[in-house]
Amino acid sequence: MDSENQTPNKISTKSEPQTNVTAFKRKSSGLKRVMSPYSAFVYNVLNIGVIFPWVYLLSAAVFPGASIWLGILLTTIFASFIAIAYSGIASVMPRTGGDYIFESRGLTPWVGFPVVATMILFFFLQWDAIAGWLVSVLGLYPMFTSLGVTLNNPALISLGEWFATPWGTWITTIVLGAISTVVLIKGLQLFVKIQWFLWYSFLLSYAIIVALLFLTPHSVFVANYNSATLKIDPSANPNFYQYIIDYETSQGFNPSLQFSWIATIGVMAIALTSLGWVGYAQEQAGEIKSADSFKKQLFINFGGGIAAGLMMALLAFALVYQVGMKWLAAAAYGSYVSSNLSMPILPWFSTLIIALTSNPIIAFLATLGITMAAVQVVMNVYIGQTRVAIAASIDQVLPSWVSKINKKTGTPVNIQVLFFVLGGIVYSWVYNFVPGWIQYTLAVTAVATIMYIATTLAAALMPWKLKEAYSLSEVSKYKIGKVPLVTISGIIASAFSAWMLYYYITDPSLGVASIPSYALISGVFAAWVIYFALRRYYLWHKKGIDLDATFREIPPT
Amino acid sequence: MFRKSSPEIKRILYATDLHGSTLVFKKLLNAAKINKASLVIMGGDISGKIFFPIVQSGKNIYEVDYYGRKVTLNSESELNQFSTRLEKEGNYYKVVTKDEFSELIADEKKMNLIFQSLIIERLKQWVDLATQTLRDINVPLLISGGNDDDQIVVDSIINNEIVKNVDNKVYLEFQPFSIINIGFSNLTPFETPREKSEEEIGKLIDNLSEPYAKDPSHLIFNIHVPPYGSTLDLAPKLVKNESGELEMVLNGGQPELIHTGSKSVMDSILKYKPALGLFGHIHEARAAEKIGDTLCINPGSSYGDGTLNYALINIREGKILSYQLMMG
Repeated sequence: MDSENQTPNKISTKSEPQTNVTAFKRKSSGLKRVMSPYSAFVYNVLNIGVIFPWVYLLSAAVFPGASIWLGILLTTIFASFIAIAYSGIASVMPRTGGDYIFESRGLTPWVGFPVVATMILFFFLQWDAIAGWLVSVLGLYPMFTSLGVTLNNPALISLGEWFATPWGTWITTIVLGAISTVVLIKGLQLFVKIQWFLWYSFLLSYAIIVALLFLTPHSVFVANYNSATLKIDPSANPNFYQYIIDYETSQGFNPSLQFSWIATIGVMAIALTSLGWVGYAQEQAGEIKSADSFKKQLFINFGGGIAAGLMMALLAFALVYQVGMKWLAAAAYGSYVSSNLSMPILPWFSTLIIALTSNPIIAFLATLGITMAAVQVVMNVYIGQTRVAIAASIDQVLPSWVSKINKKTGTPVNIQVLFFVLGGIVYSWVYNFVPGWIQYTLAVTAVATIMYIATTLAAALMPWKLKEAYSLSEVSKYKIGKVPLVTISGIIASAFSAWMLYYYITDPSLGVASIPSYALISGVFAAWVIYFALRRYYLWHKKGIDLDATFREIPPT
Repeated sequence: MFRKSSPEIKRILYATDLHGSTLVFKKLLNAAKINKASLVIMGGDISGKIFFPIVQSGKNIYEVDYYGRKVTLNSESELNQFSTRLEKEGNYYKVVTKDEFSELIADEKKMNLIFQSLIIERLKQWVDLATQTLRDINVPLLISGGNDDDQIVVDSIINNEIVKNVDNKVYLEFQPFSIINIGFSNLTPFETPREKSEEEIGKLIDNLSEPYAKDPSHLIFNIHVPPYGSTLDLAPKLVKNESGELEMVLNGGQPELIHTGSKSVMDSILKYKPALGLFGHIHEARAAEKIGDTLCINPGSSYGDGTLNYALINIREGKILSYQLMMG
């Protein structure tokens, strides 16, 4: 039964002569399993992480002379080349497993498997924990705290504050991880249905927050911020807004706020932690409708990146417009970088809702969508992890147990449950309760960037390394001069990613340049290389399987 | 690295649903050499689906409707490039005059005959190519039909020392195995050329398998349609729309997947317990699964983008040792 989607409307499906067509199709089928491109677009926008708070906070604290919104826009432009490179290679190899497939076939499995396994199979365990943290701290904490403040209900305030504690975050991570696991075990259909609710509630919340940031008079914001702070902590300084600036100045944090291009470029490295994921939907490329269409892929990856980039830039602009760069930098520095000041209201953009409205319904709606976007991140992480693991398992790089499909559910239950236990329970406990653990894991962004470099290089080399498949693809028609578009995009994208990687490993303010961090990255990568070598040896000698053959492009002559 | 010795392994290379793609067929032959296959099995649905008449409208000027887009070819060179592309995609073409084209669209029978002759012609080219390529390494190629292949197309495959037409036959020359080959499918919504009722398929399998049922560990099924209710037969559910065309049932933006395989095939697997089952038919359902004692494999098909989907089955001392699902 045919599964290709190349049946055009004008071709007769019954071999009947037609007056206005010139091609004839025999009796046969012509359908393909799909996830709609719009679903994939939404998936990408939500995954890119408009809500990731460090883009706004870390940028303000570390690069106070930057224009955050401009830095985000510049990153969006460069990330567009990453998106084009992903679109090109994904349209040629529209297969579940995304980065793993592209790198192992487009470069070599000795690079592709360890790089992607280090990121998606290991460091994504941290994302299982961070995603739960996002739900708890960015969503539920401001939701209940703002409801408590607006309704004058101390119990709700306490509940809100509990969500920002390690126990609150850990339990939230476990509950959300369990729910996500159940949903994904039931199948992607259920996830897609839920995703529409997550998407539209997020858009509503985003619109409310941006509107409130623009429309609320600054004096009202400051007054509300101070009064809400006192409701949460009656012993706090009554002008806590100004106190934050004064305190951090007294601690030596008194940076120049004059616009600086160098600082703005620094923001790009931070913004890439979100916008670098423009190709993340490709981890499930085999489930996306018309994934072999370059134009559809552009809509998903390029379009998703542009949409998310514009939303992030607007949010950054609105945030700085309302709270002021001086305050944002001081609050971010005190709460996020140095942790030298305990703040009753943390400066996350969603938390500031507490000071932007006195209407509990608006506060609820504004925080609901942020919570839902964070829930989507939880699910995204599990989906990506499992898809990469399954692809590696089908190749026999990972054991077949990993890709075993449960008869009743038709889904890979084993790996879903394993990632939930490892990431959602064990790793999130470490993440929330082991002091100083974060210094080992801030390298996650550097590892992701190495993955972008490898995938975009694979895309750049595709016209030569995957010659036959490329020559038949739609993307092969797109050239600038005589150079394939995918090559140009891939080179620019990998050069840009390498530039940003240089920032991650050399700028201590980005938190990555530490010996423990380097050691963990190198150790995990080396462990995967050794695993691959041993697995290859075992398969050859015990099972007669030539693993190298799996990654070989078969020439037709 | 770690490659000092190689185990004594025999390999079956299996691919299916090539649908006329010469590019993928050439890859299949090359994969046999690269992977040191002992036997190559090409499952059914050999025929491509689309025939493009290319109308010569002037000296060295040709026109063709390519998926709804009018393409004008202004030289012999452009014509060659375009026709090569069509062949790679698994499509067929014939250069005709305007008058011949008018005759074609007015006479369905004539069009079908030309289409069929093009399929047979390409299949003969494949057989010649396979014979030349595989003779050097002395590897047989077994070919069976599928539901999309007209019987006349399947019958046109002539046996020689390398290529064997095994459609609805048992192949016994890959000892100690007996390979049962069946190219029909159960009834589909597409009313394709070679479909049979579940009862007929069951009888066909019984007739071919019973003489070899005593030794299931050396029995292999090569059956086009996969077993019902497995992971090898999941395909989108279809309904006819108002204009009578088939379209997918979507649920939450996703296609609703249903089992579309053959119940008789599933029953036969459980009854005869063959060591290995090779299936195709559902291109999307690339999977391997143990059903009872039987390792069942559907390598899927991506012929449209020029990719060879195939399975390598590794055999040591007459026993199925392992398998690999590959794409290249």
